[in-house]
Formats: sequence, structure tokens, C-alpha cells
Amino acid sequence: MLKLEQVYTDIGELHIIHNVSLNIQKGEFVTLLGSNGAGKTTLFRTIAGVLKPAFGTVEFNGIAIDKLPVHKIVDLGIVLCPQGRQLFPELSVKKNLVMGAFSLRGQKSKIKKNLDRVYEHFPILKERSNQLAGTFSGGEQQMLAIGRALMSEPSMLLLDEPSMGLAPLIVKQIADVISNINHEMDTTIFLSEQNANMALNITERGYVLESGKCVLEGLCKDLKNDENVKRAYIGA
Amino acid sequence: MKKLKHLSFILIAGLLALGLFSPNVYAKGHTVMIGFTGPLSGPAAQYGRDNVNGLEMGIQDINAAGGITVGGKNYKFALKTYDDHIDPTAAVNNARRLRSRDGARFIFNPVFNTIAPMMQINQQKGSEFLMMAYTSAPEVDAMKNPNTIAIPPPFSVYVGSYVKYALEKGWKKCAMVVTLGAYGDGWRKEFESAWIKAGGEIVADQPANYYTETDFSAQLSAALAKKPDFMLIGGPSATTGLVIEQARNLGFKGEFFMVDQAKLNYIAEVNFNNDLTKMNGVTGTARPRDLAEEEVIEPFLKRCLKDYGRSATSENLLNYGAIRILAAAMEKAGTVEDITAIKAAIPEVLPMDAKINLLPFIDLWGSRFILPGTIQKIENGQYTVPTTTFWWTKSDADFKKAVSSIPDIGNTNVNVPLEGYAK
Amino acid sequence: MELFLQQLFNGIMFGSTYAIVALGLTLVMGILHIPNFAHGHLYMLGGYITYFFITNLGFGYWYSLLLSMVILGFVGVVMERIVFRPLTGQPPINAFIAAIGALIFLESLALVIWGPQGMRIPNPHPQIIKMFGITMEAQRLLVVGGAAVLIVLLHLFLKKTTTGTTIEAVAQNREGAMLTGINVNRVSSMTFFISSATAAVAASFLSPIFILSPAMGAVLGMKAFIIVILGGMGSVPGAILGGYFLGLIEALGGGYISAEYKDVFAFGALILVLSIKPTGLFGKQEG
Repeated sequence: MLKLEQVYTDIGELHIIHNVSLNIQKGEFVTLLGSNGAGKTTLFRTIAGVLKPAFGTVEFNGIAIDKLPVHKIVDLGIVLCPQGRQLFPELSVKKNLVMGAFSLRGQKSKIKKNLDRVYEHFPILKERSNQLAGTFSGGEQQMLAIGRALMSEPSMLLLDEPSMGLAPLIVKQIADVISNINHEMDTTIFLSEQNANMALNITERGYVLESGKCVLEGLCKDLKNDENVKRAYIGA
Repeated sequence: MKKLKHLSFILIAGLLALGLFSPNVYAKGHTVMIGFTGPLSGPAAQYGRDNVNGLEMGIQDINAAGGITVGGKNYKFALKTYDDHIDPTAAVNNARRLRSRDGARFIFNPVFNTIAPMMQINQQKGSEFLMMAYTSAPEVDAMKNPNTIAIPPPFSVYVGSYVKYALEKGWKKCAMVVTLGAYGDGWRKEFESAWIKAGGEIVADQPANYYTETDFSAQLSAALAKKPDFMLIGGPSATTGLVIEQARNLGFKGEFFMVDQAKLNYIAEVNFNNDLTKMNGVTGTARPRDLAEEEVIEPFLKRCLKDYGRSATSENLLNYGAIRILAAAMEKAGTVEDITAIKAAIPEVLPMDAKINLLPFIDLWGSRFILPGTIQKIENGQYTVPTTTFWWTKSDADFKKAVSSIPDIGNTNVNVPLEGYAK
Repeated sequence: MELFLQQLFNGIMFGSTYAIVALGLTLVMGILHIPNFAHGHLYMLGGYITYFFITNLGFGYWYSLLLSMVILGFVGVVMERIVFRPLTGQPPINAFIAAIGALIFLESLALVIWGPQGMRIPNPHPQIIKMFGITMEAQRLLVVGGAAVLIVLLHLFLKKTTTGTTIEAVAQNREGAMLTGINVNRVSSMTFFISSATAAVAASFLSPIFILSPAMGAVLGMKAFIIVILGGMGSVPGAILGGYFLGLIEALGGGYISAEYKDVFAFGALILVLSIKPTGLFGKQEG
């Protein structure tokens, strides 16, 4: 479904991503592990089209997307739920969600259906649908960001460190919802995390990124037992 | 994308170049360079252009008549213009550039705010120039700058005429909504003191920026609340027209006096589509066609219309006259460089044949041309017979002599000597 | 009392124009984070386009106003495309310089086509109306009413339609908007269209009362900037309230104290507001 081949990405003069190749199948739930500064966010932004690779190709369902503008990539079905959430702070929760369904504009019943489903996953968003997004706590904002990303019914969801800065209880709650989304809606999910405990427990397969290079890949149960992974991401 | 960027750049650069370099005329052989700095863009651009147009026509005619002969050499005239946006610093820089780079010893400027600083530098040794000041501000005369010639009559002439007229009408209360700036301030102060001295009363003084504002209802409402008998208004013509219209719309029924910068015929044309009934009760400086004999003025008016697509203004006429006088004075003085000698020769060439310089320039009074000031009122949708004011004649005998020395064009002549106006 | 009402009406009339011009400016500022110094000059061009249709082609007033709106809207789109878009991601100073270039271009263009002299659009509604002891021209009433209608329509557009909300979304978080599938370039174009079209309306409303000249945009453009800074950059309610506020301050201050200090009141209010709240009345802290 998603295929990266020898992707290199630069930001200004800095070479951030070096020769990353990966392949994700439809319906998979895959994690991208890496410490702070490993290049996870840059890699996700490259896939979503915010950054353009200096070299290499990104293919989605057989279509080369590495030169497409972001909104075209969204139309194809890849949605990035970004680090830092990137919400619209002055808009109400509901309007944030409706904006998330921008690629479905005009299809009212579909938008309504998706809105109901997001409310189902995150009841708190329904309760506070008229509140301004900027007034939300970090956890609520993260829920809203995921909800917004789901509004366009993506076939592939890129989640960039959804657990960052959140309390363990909320991380648990969000992890449950993500798993549900993957199982129930058959959405392919690519999740980046520093929190390897959580990520390796819910996903099936993983890649490990270090200094912009893909150093390891494998099934989660194998990665969990890998000494390097244990030392670097799970801790003693 | 890159290409588009370049294209827009080129377009902008091209237009800038058009704006900066178009109106300059160069001539081959021996040349007398005439300089002009004034507003050629911005709110006063038309005013600046009108001045330039007068100079252009004058230069065309001088050259068409074969130029001038000085010391056995034939000279043609050329004009170099710069835009100063009424910015004193820019005007001074332009003057320096005109003098040193373009070799212009005669520099015209039409705004008192920029003339005053230029008069600070026109006597510097080795770079003297003759300041050709198109301003009626009397302060220019008080500065006693020997290298200056002021072209139009001082506005004190009109102050005197207006006060006389208002007294005859038995009016008492005056409201002033005059343009801001050194020129307008001078007008207001001089009119106020003359009117109070004559027993009148200023019930409202609401100056406004005629260069940047277009709505004067705030000032007019405040002024009209005091129920004035008449109003003194004016600044640039187009906005003065707005003031007339807005005051009428607010219900003002009295008469208007306009400062001499505002022109009756310009306002009639631009603001009222030549419907003079909308200007009943407005008095200002007379329209050009009533300033000289018909056979002299008509061809000139037609020419302005043909060459510039606009009716002639007094800026056209006066600058035209001034440049023709300058050319004659150069021939008389036998020099194109010694500005002191050229200025000294001016009284000797005046008065000139009206066919050459159109208006009855009579003499030089210190640093100013002696030229009668003519006012005119619009009544019943028509221009009335203008009143020509003789301001330099002290006695009745002088007055009669002066009247007989200029062509009779059917205007009413009055003698209103300017008090304390030093020669 | 009558004088007060008269001044109040004048203030509201001017405030209406300020509000719609500032509204257009603030939308563009919110979206692109560039000060479009040429906004006042677009307003000027709008007046001339209306003039062209009425005087040269003999079209009716309202028809000309509509045409002027559409044409100036596209001028705005073209300006965004060739002047500002190539500069995205570059230091803001480049956009500053580009805006000033555009401003000089527009003024020179008008100067070349229409010349420096003032021009007039015949007043379509010259009737004089007396109400509550004050006198007003029908066209001035139209300005007040028309501006109010336009502001309400724009408000509904921004708040109630998905397309309108995209403008707010892009203004609040450009990358967030991109990631939801909004084509931000198209939103930029649309915003420039709306911004220019409203400027054309303001110019078409006012030019029958006033005079068209190539320099007329400079003063209004400057005032629109004062209002936008006063109200908070990119804030729509700030621009509307700021517009009416400035109009009233000028009329009342100018009428009661001295017109000589009219601009002093405007700038005084600006300095006062900024010293108390540096982000403007409705401005949000960056971050």
C-alpha cells in the first residue's frame, strides 16, 4: 500500500533522512520507533507531502506521491495527525472536525456519519462540540486531532507521537481508540512513538529509526526482545 | 514560476522608468536648461503638471521662434523636470541635482513649503540659481532673497478684495475651512486679521487637510452650526469643489470666497461637469479667458485643450509668461548665466507685447512680478464680469496710469493698495 | 444636539468604509502574514474601474459596481499569484518590498491611464434627506447601509459556510489546514479575491461623493493599517469595530476639538491601545 524507496530528505542544509525504504500493507498496524531527533516527524511529513524528498520515491497504492501537493495526497487517502496537533484554536471543536472532512465537502450524509463515529470514539468531543479548540487540555486536543484526522475516512492514518506529553491514563485511553480504529474500520495505521512500551504492545510490526536511518525492522514480539531496542527505548 | 517573477519585476521597473523619465526634453547645440521640481505624483500631481505644461508651451514657442541670441550664439531652451512630492528634502536635492548635474540656473517650483528651503541654497557661491517661485505667499517677498522671482500676485491682493466686497455686502460672520500647511495658514491668518480689523468676526476656524481628506462634513458641520454669512475656503481645486458641494448639501446658503490656489474653471469642469448653477455664489481668482484680450487668449486656450486635453489654468498662463520674460531678459542682459544681470534686465523688457507673454506683467517689485490680481464670481450659473485689482499703485493718479497701460478687456478695475508691502 | 448627530452620522459613514476596507486587509494579513501595503491602491483602482464602466461605457451604477467587484477581485488574485506567492517561505522583508513595488505599479498605472487630475463619478443618488434634524445625502446613507449589509454577508460567509471557514482555518494554522486537505494556495487566491472585491465596493460607494485620483488609495490604505493594528492583526471583529471606532474618533474629535489634529486622535488611539495591549484590541498572543 505505502512504499518508500531510498528516501532522502533535507531541511535547509541539514540532511535529516538517509536512505529509508519501507513497505506497509493494507490493514497493517505498524510503528516507527525512534528517540527524539531521530527523524520520525520529518519522515512522516515527507510521506504526507509537507516536505519533498531530495531523492527517492514514495508510492501509495502504486501512485507516486512524492511530488504531489499535500491536499492531493489527502484526497488519495493518507492523513497525517501531526505532532503538536496543529488544530484551529479559534474554531469550535465541531468546526475543527468538519474541516477535517474537507476532502469530502458536499457529501453531507457521509460527513454526518463520520462525525457521529468520531463522537462515538471520543464522547468528550460531543459534550464540548461548541467549545473553542484552543481552550482544551493537551489530552483533549490530542483526541480532537485524531478525530479530525479520521473525519475524511483515510485509508491510511499517520499518527505522529500521539502520546507525547500526556498522562499515562490518557495514553492508555488513546491507545485503545487507535487499536479500535485499526480493527473496526480497517484503517492502515503508521504510528511513530518514543514510548516503545505502548507502541510495541498495540502494533504488529515496527521499524526503528536512528539518526535518520532505518536500523532495524521486524515483528513487535521480536523487537521487544531485541537487546538494543530494550536498552534504548524500553529502559531497564 | 521564476519566469513570472521576472516578468512582474520587469513590468514594475518599466512603469517606474516611464514615470521618471518621460517628460524631459533635450535640445542639441547651445542650450539654456530650465529646471522644474514639484509634485508630479500624489495628490497634487495635476497642479504640478499644469505648471510644467505652461513651461513646456513657453519653451516650444521660444524655440520655434529660433531660440535666443546671446553674444552671437544661438541658444535653444530645454526643460528638465523632477518629482519632489512636496517633500522639502526632495525638492532641495532635486534643485542641487538640477543645478550641478543638469546645469539649470533657473529652477521653477510651485509650492511654498518647498520653495522656502530651496531659497536657503540658491545663493551658495558657485551654484547660484534663480528661484522661479510660483507662489502667492507674501512671505517670499519678506525673505528678500535676491535670487528669487515670485510669479503670481501675492495673495494679500485677494484678501484685500474679499474684505472690501464682504463689507459692501454688509456681512459680519465669517467661517474659515481652509487647507492646512504654510500656504493655507498664511491665508487664514492674513484674512482673519484683515477681517477683524474691518470690524468683522471669525465665528469658526476649521482648517482641513485638502491634500489627504475628501470628506469635510465634520469641519463643515461645526462651521455651519455658527451660522456664518460667508465662508473662506480652499486649497487644491478638486477638493475645494468637494467642500462647496458638501457645504451646500449640509444646507449652507451663503457665499464662498476661495483662496487663490483653487480655480473656478477647474472646479466647474472636474466637480460639476461644467454645471455652473452648482457654483452660484462662489468667488475666486478669475478664469483664464477673462485675464487677457480674446484674440490673445483664445488661441492659447485652444492649444491647451489640443495638446493636453484640458482647459487652460492660470498655472499654464503664468508659467508661460514667466519663461517668455526670462528669455527676453537673457537677450537684453547679453548672458545666459549671470542670473543677477538677467533679473536686473527684467524691468527693462516689461511690459512685453501681450501676444508674447499673454498677461499684463508690468514690472518687477522686489522679487515679485507686478501683475494685477483678478477675481470673479459665479452668479445665476454664469461667470460675472471680473474685478481686476491694482495693488501696487499708491495714488489715484498712479492707478489711472496703470489702468491705461494695460489692455482694456472690460473688467472692473479697482485700486486696493497693499499696506506695508515693501518694495 | 443636531451638530452632535450630524458628526455622529459622518463618523458612522466613514467608519463603514474604513471597516470594509480594513476587513479585506485583515483577511489577507491573517492568511498570508504579509502586510499588503498595496491594499489602498487596489481600492483606488476599484474606483477607476467603476468610473470606466459608468463614464466610458455608459453602464448603470449598480451594474458597474458589480463588474468592478469581479474585475478587481481577479486583479487581486493575479497580484497574489505573481507578486506574493513566489515569495512564500522567504524573509518577510521581501514581501514588504514586493507590496511597495505593487503599490507604485498601481499608482503609476492609474497615472498613465487616467492622468493625475481628479475625476468624478456622477452621483447616482443625489437626493438630500433630512432626518432627526440632520441633513444627509442619499448616497451617504447608502454607504452606511451597504457597508452594514456587506459586513453581515461576509460574516455569514466566514462563519456559516465550509468554504468561508477554510479562510479562518488557514489563518489559524496553515499547516494544520494543509493536512486536512485544504488547498491553501486556492484559499489564498480566494482571500485576495474577496479582499479586493470588498475594496472595490468601498471605492464604488464613496467615489460618487468624492473625487478619484491616483493618490487617493495611499491615505485610506494607511488608515486601514492603523485599524488592523488597532483591532489586532488578522482579527475580523477587530477590523470592523476598529473601523467604526476610527471613523467616530475622527468625526467627533475633528468636529469638536480641531480638524488640524484629526490624525493625531487616530494615531493617539493607536499608541494608547498598543501600549496597553500590544497585540491590539482583539489580537491573540503569538504561540
